[in-house]
Amino acid sequence: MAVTRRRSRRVSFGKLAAYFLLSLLAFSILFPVVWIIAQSLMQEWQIYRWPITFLPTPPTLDNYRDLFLSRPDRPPLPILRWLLNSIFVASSVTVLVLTVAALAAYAFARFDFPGSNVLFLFFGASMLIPAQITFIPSFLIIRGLGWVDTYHALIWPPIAGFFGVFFLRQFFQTIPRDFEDAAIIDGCSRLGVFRHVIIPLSTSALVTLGIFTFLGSWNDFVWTLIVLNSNEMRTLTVGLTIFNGEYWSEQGIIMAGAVFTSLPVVILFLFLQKRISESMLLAGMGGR
Amino acid sequence: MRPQAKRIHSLNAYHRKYSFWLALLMLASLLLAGCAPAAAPAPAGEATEDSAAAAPAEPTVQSEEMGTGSIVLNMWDGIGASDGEILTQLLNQCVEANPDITVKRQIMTWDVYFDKLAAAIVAGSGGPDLFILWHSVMPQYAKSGFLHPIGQIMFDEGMLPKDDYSPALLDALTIDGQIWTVPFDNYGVGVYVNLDLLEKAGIDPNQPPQNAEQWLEYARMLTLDKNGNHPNDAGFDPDNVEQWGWAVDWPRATVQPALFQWGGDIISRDDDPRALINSPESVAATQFFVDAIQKEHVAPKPAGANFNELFANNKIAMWPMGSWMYNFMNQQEGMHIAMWPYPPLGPERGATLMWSHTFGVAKSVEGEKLDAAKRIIKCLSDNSALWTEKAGMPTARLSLRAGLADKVWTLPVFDKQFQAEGVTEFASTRFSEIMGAVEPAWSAALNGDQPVQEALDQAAERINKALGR
Amino acid sequence: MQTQTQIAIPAKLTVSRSAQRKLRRRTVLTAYAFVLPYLLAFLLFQLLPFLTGIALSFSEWELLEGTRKFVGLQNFIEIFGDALFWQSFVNSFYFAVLTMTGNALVALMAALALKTVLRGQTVFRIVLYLPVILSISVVGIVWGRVISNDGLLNFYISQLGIPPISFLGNAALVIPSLSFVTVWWGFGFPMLIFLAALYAIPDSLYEAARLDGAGSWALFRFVTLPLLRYALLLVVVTQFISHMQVFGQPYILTQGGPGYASYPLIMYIYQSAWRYYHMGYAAAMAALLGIFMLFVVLIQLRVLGERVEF
Repeated sequence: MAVTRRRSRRVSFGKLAAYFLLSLLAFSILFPVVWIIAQSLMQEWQIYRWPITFLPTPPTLDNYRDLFLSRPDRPPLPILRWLLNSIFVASSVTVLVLTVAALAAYAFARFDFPGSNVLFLFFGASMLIPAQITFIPSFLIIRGLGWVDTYHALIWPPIAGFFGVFFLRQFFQTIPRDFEDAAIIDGCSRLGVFRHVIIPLSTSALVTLGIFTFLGSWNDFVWTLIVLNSNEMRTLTVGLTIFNGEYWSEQGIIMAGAVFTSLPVVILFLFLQKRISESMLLAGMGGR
Repeated sequence: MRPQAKRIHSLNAYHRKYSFWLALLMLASLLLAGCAPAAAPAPAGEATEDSAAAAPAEPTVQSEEMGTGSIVLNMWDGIGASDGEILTQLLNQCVEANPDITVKRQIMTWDVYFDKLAAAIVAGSGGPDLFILWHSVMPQYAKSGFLHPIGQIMFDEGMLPKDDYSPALLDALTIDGQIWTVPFDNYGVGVYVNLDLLEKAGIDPNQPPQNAEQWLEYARMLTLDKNGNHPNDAGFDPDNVEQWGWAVDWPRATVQPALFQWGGDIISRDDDPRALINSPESVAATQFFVDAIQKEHVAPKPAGANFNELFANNKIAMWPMGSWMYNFMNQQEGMHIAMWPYPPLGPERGATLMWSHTFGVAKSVEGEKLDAAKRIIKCLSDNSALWTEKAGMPTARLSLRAGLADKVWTLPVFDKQFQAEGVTEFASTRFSEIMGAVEPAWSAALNGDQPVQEALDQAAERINKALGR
Repeated sequence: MQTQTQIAIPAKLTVSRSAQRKLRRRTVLTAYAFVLPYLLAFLLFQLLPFLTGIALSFSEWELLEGTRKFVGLQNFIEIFGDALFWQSFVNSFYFAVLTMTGNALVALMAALALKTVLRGQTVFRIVLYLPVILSISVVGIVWGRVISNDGLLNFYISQLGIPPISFLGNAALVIPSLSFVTVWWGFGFPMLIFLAALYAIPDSLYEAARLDGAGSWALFRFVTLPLLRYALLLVVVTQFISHMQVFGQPYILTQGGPGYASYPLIMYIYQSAWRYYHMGYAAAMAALLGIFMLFVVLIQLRVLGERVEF
């Protein structure tokens, strides 16, 4: 009896500490974020007021209006266009990366072909190369392909990233072979097996990788900036960052822009977040 | 996204190409997958719908495209915020006057702008036709063969009156006997003063300080800690200053003029330039600022400070800064602000710093496009009075400044000091690298992280290495 | 655990040797066909740029002058005498170690706490992961407002009667401050890795240890921690690689200042290439950075990875 009581008290203490820690972390994450959202609803003069105020009094949507509509002194930003560009580029990258990485990952997970280990390590080592060393040569290649200021420059190069192959291979290895053997006996080709057995069983891993890829493309700045020239071609992240530079004196609009750029990915994340932890667990990212 | 689908016919070429490739890819992956019809759709297929829906995007607005003419000029510059809007307004006037021309303007921060210019040069295409360069970086591009000597061409053809420009400025734009760009404005550094704070301290704004001693005296009178003590008072608390007499903002603008006043400079101005930033004169000038911050406590440590915010909250009394703050000042409702010339601090001479935004035209521009670029430059230059009036940036056309003194409150001070003792910033083929070495050195010294001599010696070493390449 | 295994050929289908060889050849061809798209992309967008970059590091290419010539090891020799290279290298390394450690610790604690609580776990997990999906520009905007001299944090500090602290303006504080911001931004990802690892530990192990009289510290020390080894390795390696290449945080929040106090190597490489048009030198520095990272990762694998197989 004594033992159980002591243990249950300790458990509840542990729980208490856990809740305390989590609340502290959640608070320190949400507080600045909420404050920025509040600031985006403030008039310009209120943002800079000292002592700092937290509540917009009264709240105003002026900053958001200025983000979308023209003002007497400035034409409107092509912000919807930027948004669509971002969606287009990020989705295309996601589709391509998923397709190509899944195919390669399957080969590494299931075939013991000559050179597979060497090749895998070789690909893996590429993760250690700083992007800066390949930045200039990559740009030259993009130029050689005539892709400067086109979306090709944003869509194709990310395929070469190795993380997706690695991540999916880890996941595919956890899928029992029996399913595939059965399908092969049913007369499926290798691609058929991949398509009808592996892929359906891996949706959560694919969704996870999809989210990472989408986020990476959505938030990419330097490369996008260098390869795109036209204003109407820009992605939301680049468009708004450049806008921030131009309008450094108008903090309210910058805050509104930050909130607006983050909104689509936050929504996407909220819809798909369950898949992320699920697949992390299944892929044995932490296992072994 | 649905309504967008109706606009499929208006797909632009790029989007159509991508959609085609993606569709092909999807189709291929479906066809290749052998055996029984699919039960579960591949995730790839789901995602395509997104991209297909995104593809029929139509530009809602081409925000910075001006005019409808058939000759299209791509223009790049780094002039943003309210100043950028005034330039847009000017450009609109100019395409109206030249209806055969369309100007596609791209505004970027200067940082981004120079990176992209480099990329465009590597690419050999995709760069701007017409662009704005500071006079100080112009030699980098002139030497690389990236520019037409458009200044020379337009002066020779009589499109612009050469004698309407300050000879010193044109001199700064001349390399190998050619004037490479056309100056738009000629702006520089003065001191913005908060009249309310001056009044409280009993300082007459019509009596700007005449020497370093007086400047420091004013700064002390205007610096207050939270108990109302001044820096020389007993019990002054330098950690809790409520109001600063002076602010050493961006050192490139506010320390550099003092180098001239002490007889120093960043690099020598001769055929074989070498670093002067660690010369005894330059060190002494920099030391004056370091002492003001670290010993006299009349100015805040610059790193991490937001001077705009401090000034707007009445926490800075005397703020040496550039012409471009004009609209910021005008936006501060309820504040009373005046302009003083950059103070005579050094032993050698009075001086302030000047720059110029200049127009460059890419070498690749030819024929009717070149002609169009020239007409736009001429128009912008002829109408640059508006730039002065609305942005507070003194036009490079001296004759146009005349009528503006009553309209632009900063102009009389700038005009007078520029002509009497303005010094144009050095220009160099290694400008970015030199400034990249000097600015951190100043920052470390002003912040008290490194002794002045040591910081500037290191900068000088880097500069000489760059110049020696 | 086992690594690659050959595909299982159904036992009853045993056929002649030549048919088997044929089957094997087909399998190999199929395997290559699966890898091919990735291989092509890799060759074009990784290997080719990499090799070009290596070639570049042995040459002097003054972009604006358009001159390009082979100079052998000259760039590397120059780099070793370049004080700024070493300073920026130390900055990056300091930042990487600090952030890697901070991220791993916070992520581990958060994962342990998440594992402990059942009610509200999902909400906490979502909130704690939230910053990861924000872009660096947004993080820069948020934290620029929070830790500037007159930002939110200093507002509270001043309320306590303490003089404001210049988090980004103080040479000694600037890298820890940037590191703090980065932990805020990024600990969510390693947290998920740890959480997955914690869930992968069978409860039976804990039960057994408890029966042996292990307290909670002992449970953590002798059951949890050893079994988190793989996760820890994964976190430490990926965190080090990405934070050694830090760029965006200082670029947006401090521009490398004050002085060179937060100037990272990648910023030096970037500026040398795109701002100073000194391409060969930049490529040589990048090559050295790549070699160094490889070296550190090998050490990490050796120290942490003894009993870990991929």
